[in-house]
Amino acid sequence: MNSPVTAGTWDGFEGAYYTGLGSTELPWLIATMILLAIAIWMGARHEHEAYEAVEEKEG
Amino acid sequence: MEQDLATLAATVAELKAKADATGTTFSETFYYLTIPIMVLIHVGFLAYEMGASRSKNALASGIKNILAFALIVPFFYYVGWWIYWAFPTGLTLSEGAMGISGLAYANEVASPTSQYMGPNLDDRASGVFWGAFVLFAATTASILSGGVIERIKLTGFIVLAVVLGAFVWILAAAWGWHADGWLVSKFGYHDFGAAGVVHMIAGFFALGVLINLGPRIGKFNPDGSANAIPGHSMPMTLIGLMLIIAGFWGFLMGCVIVPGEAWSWSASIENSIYGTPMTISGMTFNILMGFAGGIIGAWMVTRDPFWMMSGALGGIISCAAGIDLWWPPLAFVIGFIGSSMMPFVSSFIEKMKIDDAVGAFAVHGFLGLWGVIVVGIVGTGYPAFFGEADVVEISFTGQLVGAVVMAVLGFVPGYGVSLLLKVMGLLRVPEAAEIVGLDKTKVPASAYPEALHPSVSPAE
Repeated sequence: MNSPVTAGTWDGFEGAYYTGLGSTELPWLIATMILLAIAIWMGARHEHEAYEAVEEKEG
Repeated sequence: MEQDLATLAATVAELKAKADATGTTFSETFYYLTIPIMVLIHVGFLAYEMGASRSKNALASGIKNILAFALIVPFFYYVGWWIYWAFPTGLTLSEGAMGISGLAYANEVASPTSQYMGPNLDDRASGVFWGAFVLFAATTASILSGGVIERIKLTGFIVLAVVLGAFVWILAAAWGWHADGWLVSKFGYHDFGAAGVVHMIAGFFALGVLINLGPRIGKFNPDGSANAIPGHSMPMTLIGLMLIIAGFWGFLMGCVIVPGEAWSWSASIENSIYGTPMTISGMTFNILMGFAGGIIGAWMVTRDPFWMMSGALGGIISCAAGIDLWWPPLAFVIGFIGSSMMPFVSSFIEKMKIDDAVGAFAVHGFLGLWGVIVVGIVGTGYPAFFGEADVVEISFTGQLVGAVVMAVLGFVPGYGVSLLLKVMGLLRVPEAAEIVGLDKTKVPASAYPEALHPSVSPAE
């Protein structure tokens, strides 16, 4: 990812300055969604298994 | 002489630049500080809901609360903020009269890939406004969270929390809070402190969920009578409620538009979100008077510390929609009346066989409704919007229309999505887990490892 501050100095720079400006916003955005999906799926699976275990134990 | 004037002009320009920089830093800091103050709402909800749960469910209730807050943040980044700017005029995505709404505007300022949705030297407002709205959003999810403790599946709950916090309430805010909102521009709807767009929406959403979720095991007897299921720590609950009150100050602070910025309504005086003039000082009278009236009214009818502290919330919620306008003794009366009614509404909900574990509907749904309607009863005739002449006025009809919209917009998605989750088996925990306790079932930690607080309840 290239720095949006291309003049070699912050002097006179204006506007957005975050990493990946104009190039990698979408990949990082999608990365957050994938991480969320994985975390929620794993959480749901853990919860499901926990309920199955307690139902089996309590009969 | 000419040189003196040039020096004077340069000095004035320098002073103006310094004043502008100070003013912008003040406004940026103002909204930034609303955020940690509003985090106290979530500290409070965390303590409140854990305390209101039996010890066997304390940590599971806490996890639910923490996770709802965390999940609201990315989803509000993805879509919530965009909805606020895209839909004020209805569902058409058209631009409103103020020119700060509609599809093109939302894409420019609030799309997650917009250059304003991250560090930007030209924009010192978007991040702090977005942050304050995230905290409003998380508050709606926390309101839902309390009512459904001790038997909802975590997966189902987080779906509901995201739907409420990142989609439903913010649509209500676009309609009833935004300067281009159709409820505002067409009906003069006035809801300064979000009695409708936050509290009613969340309360009615929770009601829809509770109908599908069903009561906790042991809540109702075969003859239909109800059992009390006390939480394991009333002191924790009371402290939590007081922390929510502390956070409300940040919430109401976040509803104020500070003067002097390019996006401000005024150069000299604070405004409501509708551009009507108000003062933080005046609002302070009314928050405290509503708070006091709420506690005393609830004490008068219940003598119960839980309802007294819920009455403190209820008093402020009762006053919230018009908290920029009230004569302070009237704020006391409005809070007092609202909180006096609140326990009876809770009893009525219980009679309907609905198990609302913390009275979320009574406190937020019903008193949000009362707060919106009372503006139409005693606040009619005020100009509802900024402008020089012939602007739409606050009216009973406008408030009634707003209240109906908030009730429907809250209830229908809550009922519909929870019904879908119920059909999919994602709403309610199995009976065995509810009886054993959710902490023992799925939490790799113990709230009280030395077993100081054994659960005693009909559902044990």
